Amino acid sequence: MKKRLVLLLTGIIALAMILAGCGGSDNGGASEEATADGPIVIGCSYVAGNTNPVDSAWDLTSHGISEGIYMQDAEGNLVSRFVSKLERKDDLTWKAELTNAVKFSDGSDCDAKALADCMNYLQKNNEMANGTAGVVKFTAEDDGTLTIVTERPTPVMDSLLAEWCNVVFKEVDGDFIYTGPYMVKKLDSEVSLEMEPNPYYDDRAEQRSDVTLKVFSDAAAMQQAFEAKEIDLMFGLTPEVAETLKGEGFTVKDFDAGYQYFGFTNVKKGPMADVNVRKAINLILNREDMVTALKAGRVANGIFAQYYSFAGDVEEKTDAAEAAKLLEGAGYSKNADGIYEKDGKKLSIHMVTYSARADLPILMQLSASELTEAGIESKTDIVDDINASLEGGDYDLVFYAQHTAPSGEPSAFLNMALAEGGSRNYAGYNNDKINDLLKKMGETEPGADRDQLSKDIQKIVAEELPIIYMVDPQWHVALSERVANYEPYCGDYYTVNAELGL
Amino acid sequence: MGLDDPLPIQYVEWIGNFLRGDWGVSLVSGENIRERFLAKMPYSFSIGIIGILMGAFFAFFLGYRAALNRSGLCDRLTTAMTIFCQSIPMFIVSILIINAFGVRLGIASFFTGDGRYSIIAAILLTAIYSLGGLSRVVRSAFREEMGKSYVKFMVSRGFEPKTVLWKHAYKPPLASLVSAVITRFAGVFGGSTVLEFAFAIPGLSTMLVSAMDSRDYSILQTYILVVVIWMFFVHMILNLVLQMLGARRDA
Amino acid sequence: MKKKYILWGIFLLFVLFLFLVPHQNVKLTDLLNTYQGCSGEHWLGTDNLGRDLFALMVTGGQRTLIVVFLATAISFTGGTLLGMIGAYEGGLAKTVIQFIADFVTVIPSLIMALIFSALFGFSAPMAGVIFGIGNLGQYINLSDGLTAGIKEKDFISAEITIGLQKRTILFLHVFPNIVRQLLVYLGNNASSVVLQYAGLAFIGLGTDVTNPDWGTLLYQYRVYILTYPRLVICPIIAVCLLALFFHFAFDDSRIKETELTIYD
Repeated sequence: MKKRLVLLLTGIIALAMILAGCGGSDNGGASEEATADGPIVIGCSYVAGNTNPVDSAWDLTSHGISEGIYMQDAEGNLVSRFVSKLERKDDLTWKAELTNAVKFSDGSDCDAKALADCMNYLQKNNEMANGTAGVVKFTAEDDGTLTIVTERPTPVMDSLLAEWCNVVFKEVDGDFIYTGPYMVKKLDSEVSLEMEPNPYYDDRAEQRSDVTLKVFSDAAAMQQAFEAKEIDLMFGLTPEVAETLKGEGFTVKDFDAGYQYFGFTNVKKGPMADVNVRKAINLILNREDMVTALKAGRVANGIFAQYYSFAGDVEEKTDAAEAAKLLEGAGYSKNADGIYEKDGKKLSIHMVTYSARADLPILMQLSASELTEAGIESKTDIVDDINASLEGGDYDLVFYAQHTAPSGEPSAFLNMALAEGGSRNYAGYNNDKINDLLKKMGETEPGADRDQLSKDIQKIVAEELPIIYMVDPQWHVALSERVANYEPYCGDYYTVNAELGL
Repeated sequence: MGLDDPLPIQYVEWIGNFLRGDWGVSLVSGENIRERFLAKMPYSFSIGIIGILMGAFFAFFLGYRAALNRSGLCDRLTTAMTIFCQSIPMFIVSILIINAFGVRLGIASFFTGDGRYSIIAAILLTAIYSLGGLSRVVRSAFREEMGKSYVKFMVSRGFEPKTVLWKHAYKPPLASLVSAVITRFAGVFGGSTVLEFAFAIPGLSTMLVSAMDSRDYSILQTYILVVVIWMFFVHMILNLVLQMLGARRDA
Repeated sequence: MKKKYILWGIFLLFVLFLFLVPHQNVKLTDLLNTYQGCSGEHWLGTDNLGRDLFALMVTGGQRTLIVVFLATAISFTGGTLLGMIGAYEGGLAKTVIQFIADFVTVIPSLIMALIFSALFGFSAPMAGVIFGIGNLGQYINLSDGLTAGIKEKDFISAEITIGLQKRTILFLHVFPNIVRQLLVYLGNNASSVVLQYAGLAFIGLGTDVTNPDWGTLLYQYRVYILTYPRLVICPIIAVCLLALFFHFAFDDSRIKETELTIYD
């Protein structure tokens, strides 16, 4: 009896192992070894859920599959492969002359009609596309001309066409095809995405290799995979991992993120409702230390990445004495323990951030330390859903990261964050001077004047502090020898660009 | 979809569809939920079930040796294993394994290729981490039998305790082991999260975590129902095996 | 027995030590002194931001103990009670309780935490409660089995016949007879809550590195296991000590003294 049981158990284990072996090989083959002629393997934290342009436009563009009509280049300028000339006819009407040089990945021409069809489809099916200028109507005049009519006037049509939701696509038998440098070979959502070069993108398609995006849920695992040379490119490195890999002799590059790290202050309630407290805290935070801890980046000079012409020219400084003076002016004084208090109540700042952007908790820890040294109490929280915290209003200072000019233009973010009723104006900040400037900006064509308006607004913000500028960050990417020349740009908006592996 | 019907009716309809094999589509990505479950299940299943079985197999012998000799080598070993898996997290051990075999020795690629190394490593880790607890279960069941009069009687008649236990007292410990193993089987739906994350294995747990991240309640709803069905299934097997061993159920 | 009192004494002293020992403010960072080794100023050295590891371990220890205490208290009292009632009453009560036990066992606690936090938000005590509920099943099964065994014994049947109150029988006569084995189980499993909590961080819950506990520290420092192993080994040793304490404080030494002497 006993022998039989042991035998049975051994049998089950053996059978199960064989089954697992089969299971493994059945489901395997997701990607091959990273060899010279195999695919370039990129480690990342997500891939698109599907290839539908309404759900996944952002992901697909980031993967190098789809393109907007306008895209940013490495310097932050808007460029287009589709449009040769964009002209404003009247307040609401624009005329676009097309290059007619672009083909879809099945070889068919991307003419005016194809562009009008896909843009009108997105206007109808994705509300996000109506955000800037209401519903926009595209009409193909002939093969080479497109008429664009907006519901509300906008001076920046190229930016509108560069918004992430407006990608060029064509539906063929229920499948979506795009115009980017790569096309989908096999998509296993949440696991991996295999891509091959789009032969009709340009004349260098032959030189491109296949690319595989592999999802890692754990950054430590991704680091091991890179060290084992199983992946060629690793995005989303924390400063410490970047430093470790550099120390081990791997190629690690810092590149401009386009994203900005900044703080939303609660101007509605709590101690930060007092502008003097905001100013004091702004003077206590040490941006140089932040940059040191992140191991790359620059002290912010406004709310935009510094390569943009409309970036600010604010100078942030640290001055503890001045901060102490401001706090005393606001009615606070140090108690016996060296903590500021007012009417017997300690000055305590509630700081909140989220863990999805690993740099932010570092900034918050530094700030907590600096506040402690300055005699201000602080409470820190790291939450999953930061937008819920912002909407809930239970915070004094929220550390936040966002690409503030994803369409190469400043007014979208400024309106969102500062205008009354803006979707990121959580604390209900309202300033007449800023409102006037924003209105003027909405009527000004791109150029030096518009850039100046942007700078002016950023200067007022630096005094009023509904937003505290922190860091203009650079992100780290680790590269294998094979792709050592690759230069990513614009954060994670274009993870895979046309230059990969060339 | 009948989204206007009252909720209970929708739910009954949904269960009806479920039983007919139509598990609906994901609210977020629009994929067929049944296909996704079936594609992910082999990973979580092989990690969980094979790992636990392997652990149980060795646990029986280890527990037996441990029971024979209180404070002996095996007894201390089982204690050490229990303490080990309660104080060193799997994700630390997995980093060390990947670093040793993938980076230093370069003999296994865990993340590319057919993924066989990562599955094997995950199975072995599951086995090791269940070995400690399971061997303690076996040990204490053997100790209990040792206190019973029939065993004492045979020992006092001059039989080796070793032989008495192995030949005559193995059934109750085996029954305890089987119950413990099957209780652990219950958790294989989504129980291997840490290993799946650490080895980038696209199993059920990974899917569940990302479904919850995107608040995809259609997947969660399906998961709960599948889990309840699995629970009854596990119960059936448990009772069957215990009947075979002629023991009543106690944890 | 004496050994056990000493062990408990050491544990209580240790807890007092955790709550009373003076340490550097955990919030303080020091970018000039990152990754410092052990020294008189920083007993356990500093981490990647120059935070004092000893201070982190002490404040983290407090939070860890709270989570472990909550989880263990809930699963021990809840599980014992439900198991006793189920075995004693039988019938529908037993079926319902058995279903609860199976249900919480079959859903892994990490997944349960995920569901709970989606509904109610997440906090450390919350995690304690969730793990308490998640580990309920084991205690219910154990207590149920043991009670069923006791119930068959003569003195309980006699008590039922003479009409003693149910409550009296359960608490005064059944509970003392099963509690020892339950405590052994508790001793073997209580500290596993710490690593369950560390697992939560892995799936993106409770990753609050500004309010650390031993599990979060393990998660946060895992990337340094090869470069600065000290950062990982310190919390591992702490968890290990906790596990050892539970193990020996509740071990089954009484069995040895009474019954099984002929083997030893």
